[in-house]
This record gives sequence, structure tokens and C-alpha cells, in this order.
Amino acid sequence: MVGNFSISELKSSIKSIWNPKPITLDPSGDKNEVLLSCKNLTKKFGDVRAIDNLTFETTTSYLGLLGPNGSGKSTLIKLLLGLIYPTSGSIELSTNFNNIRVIPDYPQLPRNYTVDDWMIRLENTHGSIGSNLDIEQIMDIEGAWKIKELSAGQQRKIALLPLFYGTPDLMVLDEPTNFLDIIARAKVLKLMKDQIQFTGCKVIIASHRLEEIRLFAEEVLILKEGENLFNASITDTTVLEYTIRVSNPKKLVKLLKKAKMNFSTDETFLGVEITMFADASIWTLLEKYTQTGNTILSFNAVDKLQKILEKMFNA
Amino acid sequence: MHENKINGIAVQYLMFPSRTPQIYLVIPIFAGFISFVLSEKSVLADGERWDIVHKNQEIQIEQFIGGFTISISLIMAFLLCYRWSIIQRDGSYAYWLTQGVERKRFLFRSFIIIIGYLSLSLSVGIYLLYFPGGVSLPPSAYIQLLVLSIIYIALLTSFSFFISEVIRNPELSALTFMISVWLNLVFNNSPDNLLHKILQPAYHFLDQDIFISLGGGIAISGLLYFITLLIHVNRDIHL
Repeated sequence: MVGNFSISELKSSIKSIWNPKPITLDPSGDKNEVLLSCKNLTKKFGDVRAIDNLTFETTTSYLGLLGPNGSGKSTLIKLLLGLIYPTSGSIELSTNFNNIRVIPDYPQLPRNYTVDDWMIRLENTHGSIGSNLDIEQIMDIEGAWKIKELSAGQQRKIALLPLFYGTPDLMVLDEPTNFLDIIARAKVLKLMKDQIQFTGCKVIIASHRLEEIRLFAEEVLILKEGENLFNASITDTTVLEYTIRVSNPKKLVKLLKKAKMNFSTDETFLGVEITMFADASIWTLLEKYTQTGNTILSFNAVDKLQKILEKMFNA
Repeated sequence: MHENKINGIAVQYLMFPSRTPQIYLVIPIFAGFISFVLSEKSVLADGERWDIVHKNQEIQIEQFIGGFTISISLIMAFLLCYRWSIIQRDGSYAYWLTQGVERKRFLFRSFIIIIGYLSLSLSVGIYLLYFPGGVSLPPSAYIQLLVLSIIYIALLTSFSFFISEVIRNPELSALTFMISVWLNLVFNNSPDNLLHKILQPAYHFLDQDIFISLGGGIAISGLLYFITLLIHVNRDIHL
């Protein structure tokens, strides 16, 4: 959040973000069935270990793969789809899926087709769109355009189309909103969420964006350099601390010291960032701070998962 | 049903885009028929005339086979070897695999369709030999010609897929295929040789016993196809 706003507005915004109305995700199938398991899984490309001795098992219906660029998320997805094979160890995706929809990170779409051609083929293959959606209108793309003439963002929208045809029972998504602008991304994420609710399908999503993982996953596997750093459930969204950037950091620090609150400061490329332990008295303090004409430039609530990520990737 | 549809669409898009089917169907007939028309003819006096005509027909048909073979070899080098290697490197095949295409079905379907197109082309070509080509052969000879030529097509097709799987570089696989076919045509030219009967079966259409050509051709095609399949289903395909 950026700009002038009252503390009560800020507080209610935080509450709505961190306690969102839960989506009613009710996947079909046996909820205790293992979705994905790996045992001592290693994948090497030459001398590079893209996946390094990974072992885990999950019964969740909504699995997130989280990690920075080069952590092995896409490699893991290619392994579970059978596009590439392990150097050693094993990986097993549940076989009880008849209709899997896969959205790769860099899909090589059939460039010579028009959008209409592609949609007709999708319908012939998977069945019609499951709900009353005018996909073309929502995606904002003309049917007569050739796929090779579309921009990267438009091609990404086309790449997402298979999700909406028929009734998938598993979606495997690798950075699904790459290249999308902010507005398109919001529209597409909503469409995807609605489709998952409508079809009851399970989801495996790989992303470096924490908010996308939060939106679709219940359990997250955190990868770094091909290794599993951590498995976590992300249903616990208790806020541990807040990070804030302000127009007058010295003033805020003075107030924090006076109130004897736990805090730390960090120089970032955007300016001084202050981290405060989550405490009810923060709001009173921020009220005092803003009363003298000072502004809050950005405000971020940090939960347990984010804290773990920060520790792991800053170590 | 879904698997069949998506496999069909993928094969069509990746292996037979735009004018490719026409190339497979039309060019070999032209090449074969032109070779047939340009082949040397000779006429002798009575008594030997029928033998000479009959012998010329055999030579003319062989010229047709030669022209047909060279043209399909060139076509396969570019449209099969090269394309097969390219689609596995540029991510386009991998994308279709993520959309539900199965490797085994894709390979089999491509294999069968190519043989189908070329067999159709061959059938038309053989008919053209009869009319307006004027070739007159006993029905058994026509049948042997058709069957052995299809075996020859299957050999070349399976060899082409095999080379593309073994040699991953598209240009190198196309070149290797063309060189191999040329070497077979140039150096394996003794009709009594067992290798000639197996690797150039179409030329033995007038043999009394075609078992070796038939059986050997089928066996080698089958073996090459099987090895290709094994390599193909076990290799990494990159997005």
C-alpha cells in the first residue's frame, strides 16, 4: 500500500488480506491418496544437479512448489510429467487422473494456428468450456489472430485456455501468470480459482510468487538449488511481524525506541525498511507517526511461511 | 477417444503441416515417372522383339523405382529426419506431450501415415506405368512390385526415424540418412547379393522367390522401428 491513508484503513486492509474469505476448495477423489512422492530423486544435466536427493511424500490436493529461479521447480514438474527421467531415485505422481491439464513455463504453442483454430481443437479434445464464460471476451483476444502474431502476454493467455475446457481432475501449473500485466493477472487468477472450485480438481503449482502459492496451495514444498529445504502447511497465516517503509524513518525509529518495541532496520535499494514485531500497540504508534504529516510508503505483513523463506534465502 | 484426438492433431500439426502431404504424394510419382520416361529404349528385329520389350520394361520399371527412391529419400531427409530432430529440440513436441500426447502413439501414427502417403503415391505411380506408360506385366509381377516397394518404403521410413533418434542434430541426421541411402544404392548393386535382396527389395519384383526380400525387409524394418521406439520413449524431451 502506498500513499496517504488512515491507520484504521490500513488495519482493516491488513485484516482483509490476511484473513481472506476462504475459497471452498473441495477436491474430488480420495483425500488420503498420495498425490506425489519422491525418493532420493536426483536429476543431473551434465555436472549440474538440478534436483539433488529429494525425498518427500504428500497427500494434499493442492501442492505448491516454491523457490527462487533455478531452484528446480520446473525440473521437478518435467520429471513428474515424464518429459525427462531421473538420473537416480524415483518420482511418482498418482495415476488416478484421466484429465490432466498442464501449463508449462515456456509453452511452445502451435504458432501457425489462429486463436479460433486452437480453441476448436481444445473443444474437440477436452469438451466444451465448463461454465458460461466468454473466454475470448475475458482474455480480450480476437479469434482470427494467429498465435505467432500475439505478444508474450497474449500468448500466455492462450496457453492457459486448456484449463477451462472440459473437467480436468489435475492442473499442473508452472509459473502460470508469467508475462501477464497486473489487470490480466488478476482476471486470470480469478478465472483459475473459479474453475478449480467448479471442477473440484487437484492442483500442483510452481511459482516464485508467494501470493499465487497462497491462493492455490495448502501445502508448499520449498526448493533451493534442487534440494527440499522445507515442507510447510500454509493454512496458518498468523502475522509474526510487519515491514514498513516510511517517508521519515528517523521519526518512526524514535517512536519505536520510546515505546520500547522490538524492531530492526535494513537498508534496501528502495530505502530504509523497518521490521516490527507484531503487536497490537503498533497501530497506536503508527497513528502518532502519521499525525505529524509523515506518510507510510509501503506496508507488508510477514507470516510464518514468509519468515521461513526470508531466513532460508538470506542464509 | 481424447488420446486419439490429441495424438491425431499433434501428428498433423508437427509432422504434416501445410503442403507436406502433397509433397509426399506428388513428388515421388513425378520423379519416378520422369525417370521411367527418360530411360533408354532399344528395338531389335523380330523374334527377339518381345524379349527386348520385356527386358526394357524391367529396366524402365527399375528406373521408375530408382527415381521414386531418390525422391522419397530426399523428402525423408528434410521432412522426416530433420523435422523429427527439430521438434524434439525446440520444445514443440514437448508442449504437445504436456497436452496429453503419448510418445508411442505419436511415433506409430507418424510412421504409419508416412508409409500410407508414400504407398498411395507408389500405387498411383505403378498405375501410371501401366497407363499411359504402357508397361504390361503379369498381375503377380504387379503385386510383387507393389508389395516389395512398400517394404522398401517401410525400410527407408524406419531407417529415417532410427537415424533421427540416434543422431540428435537435425542437419547431421538428414545428411547421414542421405549418405546412407546413396551408399546403399551405389555400392550394394549386385542383384544376387543377399544384402541387395534385403535392402533393395523393390528391384526383385520379378524374382521367383521373394521370401528373402519380403521377410528380410519386414524383419529389418521391424527391428529398426522397435529400437527407435525404445530410444524414443526413454529419452528426455525438453520444453
